[in-house]
Amino acid sequence: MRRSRPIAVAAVALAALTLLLPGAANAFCRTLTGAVGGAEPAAGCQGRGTPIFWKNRCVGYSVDRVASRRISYEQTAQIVGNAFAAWSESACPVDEGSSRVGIDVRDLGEVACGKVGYNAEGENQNVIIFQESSWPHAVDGNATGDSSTLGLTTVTFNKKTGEIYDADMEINSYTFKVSVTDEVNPAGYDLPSIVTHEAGHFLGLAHSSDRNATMYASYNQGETKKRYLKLDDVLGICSAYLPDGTRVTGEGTEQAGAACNPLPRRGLDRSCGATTPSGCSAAGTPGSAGPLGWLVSLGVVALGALATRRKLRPR
Amino acid sequence: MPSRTAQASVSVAVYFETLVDRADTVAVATPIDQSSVWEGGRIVTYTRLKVERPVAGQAGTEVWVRTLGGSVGNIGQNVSGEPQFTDGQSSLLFLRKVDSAFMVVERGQGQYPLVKDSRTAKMTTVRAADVGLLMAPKPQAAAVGPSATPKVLAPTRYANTLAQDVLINRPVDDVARDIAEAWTKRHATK
Repeated sequence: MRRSRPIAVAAVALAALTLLLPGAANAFCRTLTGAVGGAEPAAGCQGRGTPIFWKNRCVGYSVDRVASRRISYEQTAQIVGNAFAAWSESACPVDEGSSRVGIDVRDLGEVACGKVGYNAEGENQNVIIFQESSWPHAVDGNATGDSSTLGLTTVTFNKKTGEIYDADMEINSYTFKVSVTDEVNPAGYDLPSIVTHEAGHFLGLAHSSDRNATMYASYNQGETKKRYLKLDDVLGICSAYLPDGTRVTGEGTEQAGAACNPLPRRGLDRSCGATTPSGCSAAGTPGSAGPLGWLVSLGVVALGALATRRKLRPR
Repeated sequence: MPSRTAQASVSVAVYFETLVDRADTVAVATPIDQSSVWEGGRIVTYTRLKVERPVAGQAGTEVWVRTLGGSVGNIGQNVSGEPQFTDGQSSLLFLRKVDSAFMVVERGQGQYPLVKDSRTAKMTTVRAADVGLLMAPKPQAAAVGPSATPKVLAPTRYANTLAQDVLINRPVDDVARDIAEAWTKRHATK
Protein backbone atom coordinates (compact mmCIF):
# COMPACT_ATOMS: atom_id res chain seq x y z
CA MET A 1 0.00 0.00 0.00
CA ARG A 2 1.36 3.39 -0.83
CA ARG A 3 1.15 6.39 1.41
CA SER A 4 -0.12 9.24 -0.63
CA ARG A 5 -0.46 12.11 1.81
CA PRO A 6 0.82 13.00 5.23
CA ILE A 7 -2.03 12.76 7.66
CA ALA A 8 -0.45 14.02 10.83
CA VAL A 9 -0.74 17.70 9.96
CA ALA A 10 -4.10 17.15 8.38
CA ALA A 11 -5.47 15.48 11.47
CA VAL A 12 -4.63 18.45 13.61
CA ALA A 13 -6.27 20.83 11.20
CA LEU A 14 -9.30 18.72 10.91
CA ALA A 15 -10.08 18.46 14.52
CA ALA A 16 -10.98 22.09 14.72
CA LEU A 17 -12.72 22.10 11.38
CA THR A 18 -14.84 19.13 12.23
CA LEU A 19 -16.05 20.81 15.34
CA LEU A 20 -17.37 23.60 13.19
CA LEU A 21 -19.71 21.28 11.36
CA PRO A 22 -23.21 21.66 12.71
CA GLY A 23 -24.15 18.68 14.82
CA ALA A 24 -20.88 16.91 14.22
CA ALA A 25 -20.42 14.70 17.23
CA ASN A 26 -18.00 12.13 15.85
CA ALA A 27 -19.96 9.32 17.44
CA PHE A 28 -19.46 7.02 14.46
CA CYS A 29 -16.86 4.30 14.43
CA ARG A 30 -15.16 2.41 11.68
CA THR A 31 -14.68 -1.33 11.83
CA LEU A 32 -11.12 -2.24 12.67
CA THR A 33 -9.17 -5.30 11.68
CA GLY A 34 -8.56 -6.52 15.22
CA ALA A 35 -10.86 -8.59 17.38
CA VAL A 36 -12.97 -6.85 19.98
CA GLY A 37 -13.50 -9.06 23.02
CA GLY A 38 -13.96 -8.19 26.66
CA ALA A 39 -16.36 -5.65 28.07
CA GLU A 40 -18.17 -3.00 26.11
CA PRO A 41 -16.34 0.31 26.45
CA ALA A 42 -18.15 3.07 28.32
CA ALA A 43 -17.48 5.45 25.46
CA GLY A 44 -15.64 5.64 22.17
CA CYS A 45 -15.01 3.00 19.58
CA GLN A 46 -13.97 -0.56 20.20
CA GLY A 47 -11.55 -2.96 18.65
CA ARG A 48 -7.98 -2.55 17.52
CA GLY A 49 -6.01 -2.59 14.35
CA THR A 50 -6.54 -0.60 11.20
CA PRO A 51 -9.86 0.60 9.72
CA ILE A 52 -11.29 -1.44 6.88
CA PHE A 53 -12.30 0.03 3.54
CA TRP A 54 -13.20 -0.80 -0.05
CA LYS A 55 -10.27 0.17 -2.22
CA ASN A 56 -12.12 0.52 -5.52
CA ARG A 57 -14.25 3.51 -6.32
CA CYS A 58 -17.17 1.16 -6.96
CA VAL A 59 -18.32 -1.92 -5.14
CA GLY A 60 -20.90 -4.35 -6.45
CA TYR A 61 -23.35 -6.68 -4.76
CA SER A 62 -25.75 -9.37 -5.90
CA VAL A 63 -29.04 -10.60 -4.53
CA ASP A 64 -29.71 -14.32 -4.40
CA ARG A 65 -32.43 -14.82 -7.00
CA VAL A 66 -34.32 -17.18 -4.72
CA ALA A 67 -34.87 -14.19 -2.43
CA SER A 68 -37.68 -15.12 -0.05
CA ARG A 69 -40.97 -16.97 -0.26
CA ARG A 70 -42.57 -13.88 1.19
CA ILE A 71 -40.61 -11.17 -0.59
CA SER A 72 -39.90 -11.31 -4.29
CA TYR A 73 -36.48 -10.88 -5.84
CA GLU A 74 -37.60 -7.59 -7.35
CA GLN A 75 -38.82 -6.23 -4.04
CA THR A 76 -35.70 -7.41 -2.28
CA ALA A 77 -33.48 -5.83 -4.91
CA GLN A 78 -35.39 -2.58 -4.49
CA ILE A 79 -34.97 -2.57 -0.72
CA VAL A 80 -31.30 -3.43 -0.90
CA GLY A 81 -30.76 -0.85 -3.61
CA ASN A 82 -32.41 1.84 -1.53
CA ALA A 83 -30.31 0.88 1.48
CA PHE A 84 -27.04 1.16 -0.38
CA ALA A 85 -28.16 4.31 -2.16
CA ALA A 86 -28.72 5.94 1.19
CA TRP A 87 -25.01 5.49 1.86
CA SER A 88 -23.56 6.05 -1.58
CA GLU A 89 -25.55 9.22 -2.16
CA SER A 90 -24.38 10.81 1.05
CA ALA A 91 -23.36 14.42 0.66
CA CYS A 92 -20.11 15.03 2.49
CA PRO A 93 -19.36 18.45 3.94
CA VAL A 94 -16.50 20.13 2.12
CA ASP A 95 -15.01 23.58 2.27
CA GLU A 96 -17.75 25.07 0.14
CA GLY A 97 -20.98 23.15 0.45
CA SER A 98 -20.99 19.41 -0.02
CA SER A 99 -19.85 16.72 -2.39
CA ARG A 100 -20.93 13.16 -2.93
CA VAL A 101 -19.15 10.48 -0.93
CA GLY A 102 -16.32 8.78 -2.80
CA ILE A 103 -17.79 5.32 -3.19
CA ASP A 104 -20.44 4.03 -5.52
CA VAL A 105 -22.40 0.84 -4.91
CA ARG A 106 -23.78 -1.12 -7.88
CA ASP A 107 -26.34 -3.89 -8.14
CA LEU A 108 -24.67 -6.58 -10.24
CA GLY A 109 -27.91 -8.48 -10.66
CA GLU A 110 -29.03 -11.81 -9.36
CA VAL A 111 -26.90 -14.81 -8.56
CA ALA A 112 -28.12 -18.37 -8.83
CA CYS A 113 -27.00 -19.38 -5.40
CA GLY A 114 -26.00 -17.70 -2.22
CA LYS A 115 -22.52 -18.46 -1.03
CA VAL A 116 -21.46 -16.65 2.09
CA GLY A 117 -17.75 -16.40 2.63
CA TYR A 118 -14.62 -15.57 0.74
CA ASN A 119 -12.89 -17.60 -1.92
CA ALA A 120 -9.20 -16.76 -1.71
CA GLU A 121 -8.40 -18.51 -4.96
CA GLY A 122 -11.33 -17.83 -7.26
CA GLU A 123 -14.33 -15.72 -8.09
CA ASN A 124 -16.53 -14.33 -5.38
CA GLN A 125 -19.94 -12.88 -4.64
CA ASN A 126 -20.90 -9.99 -2.44
CA VAL A 127 -24.23 -11.62 -1.88
CA ILE A 128 -27.41 -10.69 -0.07
CA ILE A 129 -29.23 -13.87 0.86
CA PHE A 130 -32.35 -14.86 2.77
CA GLN A 131 -31.84 -17.93 4.92
CA GLU A 132 -35.27 -19.49 4.55
CA SER A 133 -34.92 -23.21 5.07
CA SER A 134 -32.71 -23.00 8.12
CA TRP A 135 -30.59 -20.57 10.08
CA PRO A 136 -27.13 -22.07 9.89
CA HIS A 137 -25.78 -20.22 12.88
CA ALA A 138 -28.27 -21.62 15.37
CA VAL A 139 -26.79 -22.64 18.68
CA ASP A 140 -27.61 -26.30 18.38
CA GLY A 141 -26.00 -26.58 14.99
CA ASN A 142 -28.96 -28.10 13.22
CA ALA A 143 -30.95 -24.94 12.73
CA THR A 144 -34.13 -25.50 14.69
CA GLY A 145 -34.77 -21.81 14.86
CA ASP A 146 -33.05 -21.36 18.18
CA SER A 147 -31.45 -18.09 17.23
CA SER A 148 -32.01 -14.47 17.97
CA THR A 149 -30.05 -13.26 14.96
CA LEU A 150 -32.02 -11.41 12.29
CA GLY A 151 -29.26 -10.25 10.02
CA LEU A 152 -25.58 -10.95 9.72
CA THR A 153 -22.98 -9.30 7.53
CA THR A 154 -19.65 -10.96 6.89
CA VAL A 155 -16.82 -8.74 5.73
CA THR A 156 -13.53 -10.27 4.61
CA PHE A 157 -10.51 -8.04 4.57
CA ASN A 158 -6.78 -7.92 4.52
CA LYS A 159 -5.67 -7.97 8.12
CA LYS A 160 -2.65 -5.78 7.51
CA THR A 161 -4.00 -3.09 5.21
CA GLY A 162 -7.69 -3.19 6.03
CA GLU A 163 -8.71 -3.50 2.40
CA ILE A 164 -12.07 -5.23 2.15
CA TYR A 165 -12.06 -8.22 -0.17
CA ASP A 166 -15.61 -9.44 0.16
CA ALA A 167 -18.85 -8.82 2.02
CA ASP A 168 -22.01 -10.89 2.35
CA MET A 169 -25.28 -10.22 4.10
CA GLU A 170 -27.60 -12.91 5.49
CA ILE A 171 -31.19 -12.29 6.55
CA ASN A 172 -32.77 -14.79 8.91
CA SER A 173 -36.25 -15.13 7.44
CA TYR A 174 -36.41 -18.72 8.66
CA THR A 175 -36.90 -17.74 12.27
CA PHE A 176 -38.45 -14.31 11.88
CA LYS A 177 -40.95 -12.47 9.78
CA VAL A 178 -39.68 -9.35 8.15
CA SER A 179 -41.83 -6.37 7.24
CA VAL A 180 -41.37 -4.17 4.20
CA THR A 181 -44.22 -1.71 4.63
CA ASP A 182 -43.90 1.82 5.94
CA GLU A 183 -46.05 0.82 8.87
CA VAL A 184 -44.17 -2.10 10.30
CA ASN A 185 -46.16 -5.30 10.55
CA PRO A 186 -46.71 -5.96 14.28
CA ALA A 187 -45.51 -9.50 13.80
CA GLY A 188 -42.41 -8.55 11.84
CA TYR A 189 -39.20 -6.59 11.81
CA ASP A 190 -38.51 -3.75 9.42
CA LEU A 191 -36.37 -5.19 6.65
CA PRO A 192 -35.29 -1.84 5.16
CA SER A 193 -33.99 -0.78 8.57
CA ILE A 194 -32.09 -4.03 9.00
CA VAL A 195 -30.57 -3.86 5.54
CA THR A 196 -29.61 -0.19 5.81
CA HIS A 197 -27.84 -0.87 9.10
CA GLU A 198 -26.11 -3.94 7.68
CA ALA A 199 -25.13 -1.97 4.56
CA GLY A 200 -23.18 0.33 6.85
CA HIS A 201 -21.25 -2.68 8.12
CA PHE A 202 -20.83 -3.88 4.53
CA LEU A 203 -19.11 -0.60 3.76
CA GLY A 204 -16.85 -0.79 6.79
CA LEU A 205 -18.64 1.10 9.52
CA ALA A 206 -19.03 -0.14 13.08
CA HIS A 207 -21.64 0.85 15.64
CA SER A 208 -22.08 4.47 16.60
CA SER A 209 -22.77 5.88 20.04
CA ASP A 210 -25.24 8.37 18.56
CA ARG A 211 -28.66 7.09 19.62
CA ASN A 212 -30.29 8.57 16.54
CA ALA A 213 -27.87 7.07 14.05
CA THR A 214 -28.68 4.18 11.76
CA MET A 215 -25.47 2.60 13.04
CA TYR A 216 -26.52 2.79 16.69
CA ALA A 217 -26.53 -0.67 18.25
CA SER A 218 -30.09 -0.71 19.50
CA TYR A 219 -33.45 -0.48 17.85
CA ASN A 220 -37.02 -0.08 19.01
CA GLN A 221 -39.81 -2.29 17.84
CA GLY A 222 -41.87 -0.85 15.01
CA GLU A 223 -39.48 1.93 14.11
CA THR A 224 -38.42 2.67 10.57
CA LYS A 225 -36.04 5.51 11.31
CA LYS A 226 -32.94 3.41 10.70
CA ARG A 227 -33.86 3.42 7.02
CA TYR A 228 -32.72 7.02 6.91
CA LEU A 229 -29.17 8.12 7.61
CA LYS A 230 -28.45 10.77 10.19
CA LEU A 231 -25.61 13.26 10.17
CA ASP A 232 -23.43 10.98 12.23
CA ASP A 233 -23.85 8.19 9.66
CA VAL A 234 -22.98 10.57 6.84
CA LEU A 235 -19.88 11.79 8.64
CA GLY A 236 -18.91 8.18 9.20
CA ILE A 237 -19.11 7.13 5.57
CA CYS A 238 -17.49 10.38 4.47
CA SER A 239 -14.59 9.77 6.83
CA ALA A 240 -13.78 6.51 5.06
CA TYR A 241 -14.46 7.48 1.45
CA LEU A 242 -13.52 11.07 0.77
CA PRO A 243 -15.36 12.67 -2.15
CA ASP A 244 -12.22 12.84 -4.27
CA GLY A 245 -11.76 9.09 -4.05
CA THR A 246 -9.22 9.13 -1.25
CA ARG A 247 -9.48 6.24 1.19
CA VAL A 248 -8.36 6.97 4.72
CA THR A 249 -6.48 3.92 5.91
CA GLY A 250 -4.57 2.92 8.98
CA GLU A 251 -1.32 3.66 7.23
CA GLY A 252 -2.25 6.98 5.70
CA THR A 253 -4.37 7.41 2.63
CA GLU A 254 -4.87 5.64 -0.63
CA GLN A 255 -6.40 6.88 -3.85
CA ALA A 256 -9.12 4.87 -5.55
CA GLY A 257 -8.62 4.55 -9.27
CA ALA A 258 -10.68 6.74 -11.56
CA ALA A 259 -12.36 3.75 -13.21
CA CYS A 260 -15.37 2.07 -11.70
CA ASN A 261 -14.92 -1.66 -11.31
CA PRO A 262 -17.64 -3.01 -9.05
CA LEU A 263 -16.84 -6.68 -9.62
CA PRO A 264 -15.93 -8.79 -6.61
CA ARG A 265 -12.32 -9.76 -6.14
CA ARG A 266 -11.19 -12.08 -8.93
CA GLY A 267 -14.51 -11.72 -10.70
CA LEU A 268 -18.15 -12.48 -10.08
CA ASP A 269 -19.24 -16.02 -9.36
CA ARG A 270 -22.92 -16.11 -10.29
CA SER A 271 -23.43 -19.81 -9.82
CA CYS A 272 -21.30 -21.03 -6.93
CA GLY A 273 -18.38 -22.42 -8.80
CA ALA A 274 -19.66 -22.73 -12.35
CA THR A 275 -17.59 -20.83 -14.88
CA THR A 276 -19.12 -17.49 -15.56
CA PRO A 277 -18.06 -14.69 -17.80
CA SER A 278 -17.20 -11.52 -16.05
CA GLY A 279 -16.94 -8.05 -17.38
CA CYS A 280 -18.10 -4.68 -16.43
CA SER A 281 -17.20 -1.29 -17.67
CA ALA A 282 -19.50 0.84 -15.66
CA ALA A 283 -18.34 4.40 -15.41
CA GLY A 284 -18.72 6.65 -12.47
CA THR A 285 -16.78 9.43 -10.90
CA PRO A 286 -18.27 10.74 -7.73
CA GLY A 287 -17.92 14.42 -7.19
CA SER A 288 -14.65 15.73 -5.97
CA ALA A 289 -14.02 17.72 -2.89
CA GLY A 290 -11.68 20.58 -2.33
CA PRO A 291 -8.69 20.12 -0.07
CA LEU A 292 -10.50 21.51 2.92
CA GLY A 293 -13.21 18.92 2.66
CA TRP A 294 -10.62 16.23 2.37
CA LEU A 295 -8.95 17.52 5.47
CA VAL A 296 -12.18 17.66 7.42
CA SER A 297 -13.02 14.07 6.71
CA LEU A 298 -9.51 12.94 7.35
CA GLY A 299 -9.48 14.60 10.71
CA VAL A 300 -12.70 12.93 11.68
CA VAL A 301 -11.31 9.51 11.08
CA ALA A 302 -7.91 10.24 12.50
CA LEU A 303 -9.44 11.36 15.75
CA GLY A 304 -11.71 8.37 15.74
CA ALA A 305 -8.77 6.07 15.37
CA LEU A 306 -6.92 7.73 18.19
CA ALA A 307 -9.93 7.46 20.44
CA THR A 308 -10.26 3.82 19.59
CA ARG A 309 -6.69 2.93 20.29
CA ARG A 310 -6.87 4.27 23.78
CA LYS A 311 -9.44 1.62 24.52
CA LEU A 312 -7.48 -1.26 23.15
CA ARG A 313 -6.32 -4.19 25.10
CA PRO A 314 -4.14 -6.86 23.58
CA ARG A 315 -5.89 -10.10 23.01
CA MET B 1 -1.14 -10.55 2.37
CA PRO B 2 -2.93 -11.54 5.53
CA SER B 3 -6.66 -11.14 5.48
CA ARG B 4 -9.39 -11.33 8.02
CA THR B 5 -13.16 -11.43 8.12
CA ALA B 6 -15.53 -9.42 10.28
CA GLN B 7 -19.21 -9.99 10.78
CA ALA B 8 -21.80 -7.65 12.10
CA SER B 9 -25.23 -8.64 13.18
CA VAL B 10 -28.74 -7.60 14.06
CA SER B 11 -30.29 -9.74 16.78
CA VAL B 12 -33.44 -9.83 18.82
CA ALA B 13 -32.83 -9.30 22.51
CA VAL B 14 -33.45 -12.57 24.35
CA TYR B 15 -35.24 -13.17 27.59
CA PHE B 16 -33.44 -14.27 30.74
CA GLU B 17 -35.52 -17.43 30.90
CA THR B 18 -34.62 -18.25 27.31
CA LEU B 19 -30.94 -18.34 28.21
CA VAL B 20 -31.61 -20.48 31.25
CA ASP B 21 -33.82 -22.88 29.31
CA ARG B 22 -31.46 -23.37 26.41
CA ALA B 23 -28.30 -23.81 28.45
CA ASP B 24 -26.90 -27.14 29.54
CA THR B 25 -24.66 -25.44 32.03
CA VAL B 26 -23.83 -21.96 33.29
CA ALA B 27 -20.40 -21.07 34.63
CA VAL B 28 -17.84 -18.37 35.17
CA ALA B 29 -14.81 -19.36 33.12
CA THR B 30 -11.48 -17.95 31.93
CA PRO B 31 -9.81 -18.76 28.58
CA ILE B 32 -6.49 -20.57 28.76
CA ASP B 33 -5.96 -21.92 25.26
CA GLN B 34 -7.31 -21.34 21.77
CA SER B 35 -7.13 -22.95 18.35
CA SER B 36 -8.78 -22.01 15.05
CA VAL B 37 -9.54 -24.32 12.13
CA TRP B 38 -11.38 -24.30 8.83
CA GLU B 39 -14.75 -26.02 8.91
CA GLY B 40 -16.76 -26.08 5.72
CA GLY B 41 -15.37 -22.84 4.39
CA ARG B 42 -15.68 -20.98 7.64
CA ILE B 43 -13.13 -20.49 10.35
CA VAL B 44 -14.16 -21.58 13.81
CA THR B 45 -12.25 -21.23 17.05
CA TYR B 46 -12.10 -23.71 19.89
CA THR B 47 -11.28 -22.08 23.19
CA ARG B 48 -10.37 -24.06 26.29
CA LEU B 49 -11.62 -22.35 29.43
CA LYS B 50 -10.98 -23.06 33.06
CA VAL B 51 -14.20 -23.16 35.02
CA GLU B 52 -13.71 -20.78 37.90
CA ARG B 53 -17.18 -21.07 39.29
CA PRO B 54 -19.94 -23.49 38.32
CA VAL B 55 -23.27 -21.68 38.53
CA ALA B 56 -25.77 -24.25 37.23
CA GLY B 57 -25.58 -27.63 35.56
CA GLN B 58 -22.45 -29.75 35.19
CA ALA B 59 -19.53 -28.01 33.56
CA GLY B 60 -16.55 -29.89 35.00
CA THR B 61 -13.24 -28.15 35.57
CA GLU B 62 -12.59 -27.22 31.95
CA VAL B 63 -14.73 -26.69 28.88
CA TRP B 64 -14.01 -26.33 25.18
CA VAL B 65 -16.19 -23.69 23.56
CA ARG B 66 -16.70 -23.42 19.82
CA THR B 67 -17.24 -19.98 18.30
CA LEU B 68 -17.41 -18.67 14.75
CA GLY B 69 -14.44 -16.70 13.51
CA GLY B 70 -10.73 -16.67 14.22
CA SER B 71 -7.56 -16.76 12.22
CA VAL B 72 -5.93 -19.52 10.25
CA GLY B 73 -2.69 -18.63 8.56
CA ASN B 74 -3.06 -15.27 6.94
CA ILE B 75 -6.85 -15.38 6.75
CA GLY B 76 -9.12 -14.60 9.63
CA GLN B 77 -12.78 -14.25 10.43
CA ASN B 78 -13.98 -11.98 13.19
CA VAL B 79 -17.66 -12.52 13.82
CA SER B 80 -19.52 -9.63 15.41
CA GLY B 81 -22.24 -10.87 17.67
CA GLU B 82 -20.21 -13.95 18.49
CA PRO B 83 -18.68 -14.39 21.94
CA GLN B 84 -15.05 -13.35 22.01
CA PHE B 85 -12.52 -14.55 24.53
CA THR B 86 -9.69 -12.28 25.62
CA ASP B 87 -6.71 -13.63 27.51
CA GLY B 88 -7.36 -13.61 31.22
CA GLN B 89 -10.84 -12.11 30.85
CA SER B 90 -13.38 -14.11 32.85
CA SER B 91 -16.95 -14.33 31.66
CA LEU B 92 -20.26 -15.66 32.87
CA LEU B 93 -21.29 -18.08 30.13
CA PHE B 94 -24.52 -19.84 29.21
CA LEU B 95 -23.32 -22.98 27.46
CA ARG B 96 -24.95 -25.70 25.44
CA LYS B 97 -23.22 -28.96 24.54
CA VAL B 98 -23.04 -29.57 20.80
CA ASP B 99 -21.13 -32.68 19.82
CA SER B 100 -17.78 -32.60 21.58
CA ALA B 101 -17.72 -28.93 22.49
CA PHE B 102 -19.95 -26.29 23.99
CA MET B 103 -21.45 -23.33 22.17
CA VAL B 104 -22.53 -20.13 23.86
CA VAL B 105 -26.31 -19.87 23.91
CA GLU B 106 -27.54 -17.02 21.71
CA ARG B 107 -24.00 -16.06 20.81
CA GLY B 108 -22.86 -12.79 22.40
CA GLN B 109 -26.05 -12.53 24.42
CA GLY B 110 -24.93 -15.57 26.40
CA GLN B 111 -21.60 -14.07 27.45
CA TYR B 112 -21.16 -11.51 30.25
CA PRO B 113 -17.58 -10.43 30.98
CA LEU B 114 -16.68 -9.76 34.59
CA VAL B 115 -15.06 -6.55 35.71
CA LYS B 116 -14.26 -5.21 39.14
CA ASP B 117 -16.60 -2.45 40.16
CA SER B 118 -14.43 0.51 41.13
CA ARG B 119 -16.91 1.66 43.76
CA THR B 120 -17.83 -1.61 45.48
CA ALA B 121 -14.77 -3.67 44.50
CA LYS B 122 -17.14 -6.50 43.65
CA MET B 123 -16.85 -8.52 40.47
CA THR B 124 -19.65 -7.34 38.24
CA THR B 125 -21.17 -8.65 35.02
CA VAL B 126 -21.15 -6.27 32.07
CA ARG B 127 -22.33 -6.24 28.48
CA ALA B 128 -19.91 -7.88 26.07
CA ALA B 129 -18.16 -5.59 23.63
CA ASP B 130 -19.54 -6.94 20.42
CA VAL B 131 -23.07 -8.15 20.94
CA GLY B 132 -24.27 -6.33 17.83
CA LEU B 133 -27.48 -4.44 17.13
CA LEU B 134 -30.22 -5.60 19.49
CA MET B 135 -33.86 -5.18 18.63
CA ALA B 136 -36.71 -5.40 21.09
CA PRO B 137 -38.46 -8.78 20.92
CA LYS B 138 -41.83 -9.12 19.22
CA PRO B 139 -44.68 -11.30 20.38
CA GLN B 140 -44.23 -15.01 19.81
CA ALA B 141 -46.23 -14.70 16.60
CA ALA B 142 -43.20 -13.08 15.02
CA ALA B 143 -41.37 -16.36 14.85
CA VAL B 144 -42.01 -18.37 11.70
CA GLY B 145 -39.58 -21.21 12.37
CA PRO B 146 -40.59 -24.28 14.36
CA SER B 147 -41.26 -23.66 18.02
CA ALA B 148 -38.45 -24.98 20.15
CA THR B 149 -40.08 -24.85 23.57
CA PRO B 150 -43.74 -25.74 23.34
CA LYS B 151 -43.79 -27.07 26.88
CA VAL B 152 -44.89 -24.68 29.59
CA LEU B 153 -42.21 -24.29 32.22
CA ALA B 154 -42.47 -22.89 35.69
CA PRO B 155 -42.10 -19.12 35.62
CA THR B 156 -39.35 -17.40 37.53
CA ARG B 157 -39.41 -14.00 39.12
CA TYR B 158 -37.83 -12.75 35.91
CA ALA B 159 -40.56 -13.95 33.60
CA ASN B 160 -40.69 -11.81 30.42
CA THR B 161 -37.61 -9.91 31.51
CA LEU B 162 -34.81 -9.40 29.03
CA ALA B 163 -31.54 -11.10 29.82
CA GLN B 164 -29.67 -7.83 29.58
CA ASP B 165 -31.90 -6.36 32.27
CA VAL B 166 -31.09 -9.19 34.67
CA LEU B 167 -27.48 -9.90 33.84
CA ILE B 168 -25.73 -6.61 33.15
CA ASN B 169 -24.07 -4.36 35.73
CA ARG B 170 -24.81 -6.52 38.75
CA PRO B 171 -22.51 -8.26 41.20
CA VAL B 172 -21.78 -11.73 39.89
CA ASP B 173 -22.75 -13.24 43.24
CA ASP B 174 -26.27 -11.84 42.89
CA VAL B 175 -26.52 -12.91 39.28
CA ALA B 176 -25.32 -16.43 40.09
CA ARG B 177 -27.91 -16.74 42.81
CA ASP B 178 -30.70 -15.67 40.47
CA ILE B 179 -29.54 -18.04 37.75
CA ALA B 180 -29.34 -20.97 40.15
CA GLU B 181 -32.82 -20.23 41.43
CA ALA B 182 -34.26 -19.96 37.93
CA TRP B 183 -32.38 -23.05 36.85
CA THR B 184 -33.93 -25.12 39.60
CA LYS B 185 -37.42 -24.04 38.62
CA ARG B 186 -37.06 -24.27 34.88
CA HIS B 187 -35.02 -27.42 34.52
CA ALA B 188 -36.99 -29.28 37.16
CA THR B 189 -40.11 -28.85 35.05
CA LYS B 190 -38.50 -29.64 31.68
